[in-house]
Amino acid sequence: MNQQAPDEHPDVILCPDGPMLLRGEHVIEDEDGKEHSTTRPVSAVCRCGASGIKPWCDGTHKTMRKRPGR
Amino acid sequence: MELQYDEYGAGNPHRLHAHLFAKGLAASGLDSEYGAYLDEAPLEVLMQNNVMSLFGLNRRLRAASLGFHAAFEATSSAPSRKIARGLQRLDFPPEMVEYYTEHVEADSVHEQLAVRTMCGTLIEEEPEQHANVWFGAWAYLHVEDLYGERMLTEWSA
Repeated sequence: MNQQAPDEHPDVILCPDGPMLLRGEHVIEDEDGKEHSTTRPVSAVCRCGASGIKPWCDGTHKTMRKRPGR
Repeated sequence: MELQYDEYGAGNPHRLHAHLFAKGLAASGLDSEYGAYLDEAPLEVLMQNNVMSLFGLNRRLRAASLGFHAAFEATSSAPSRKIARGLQRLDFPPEMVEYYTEHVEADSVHEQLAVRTMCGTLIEEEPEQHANVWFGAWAYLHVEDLYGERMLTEWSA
């Protein structure tokens, strides 16, 4: 694979109407102050608030109505 | 590469996905040897595997291969949650349930990676492959649908 400039692989990716992808190791504090360490090369953090496995995404956003204007 | 590494347990052999499934089978009293139930598998399952191999083994079908994969990942999280719940209800051992709960979380990530970083990048670099990505995705949904119909028919018989 060709060497790519570092900015071609951002550490944080906000997916439209989807989760926030985090590359690498991070510790996330949830709404209750509990800390969760990432365990994967890339982790998906829930942004819609409806996930059953928060702070991680479980794909539930796909069953929700899109925000107006999107 | 990130997706593949996750399938391999991010370097932890205990988290290797194929290993989690084998552990689940063994805990359920089933044979975890490779191909153990090949002769009992419905033909629709073999068809899925053959289509996947056909795409994967032919360079001209590489875009279809990525589309097939993305469609699989994008339709995996929610069903995995339902399967995990069903297995729990039927008192399957935690190892078998764990394989599916792992995929609720893992495939939510894989879906984004497969669609964005794999299919998205390919279409950006080779726009003429656009239709082939969709061909692969629809081929996946078609064979999965055939399998679903087969199972629902057998269960309701």
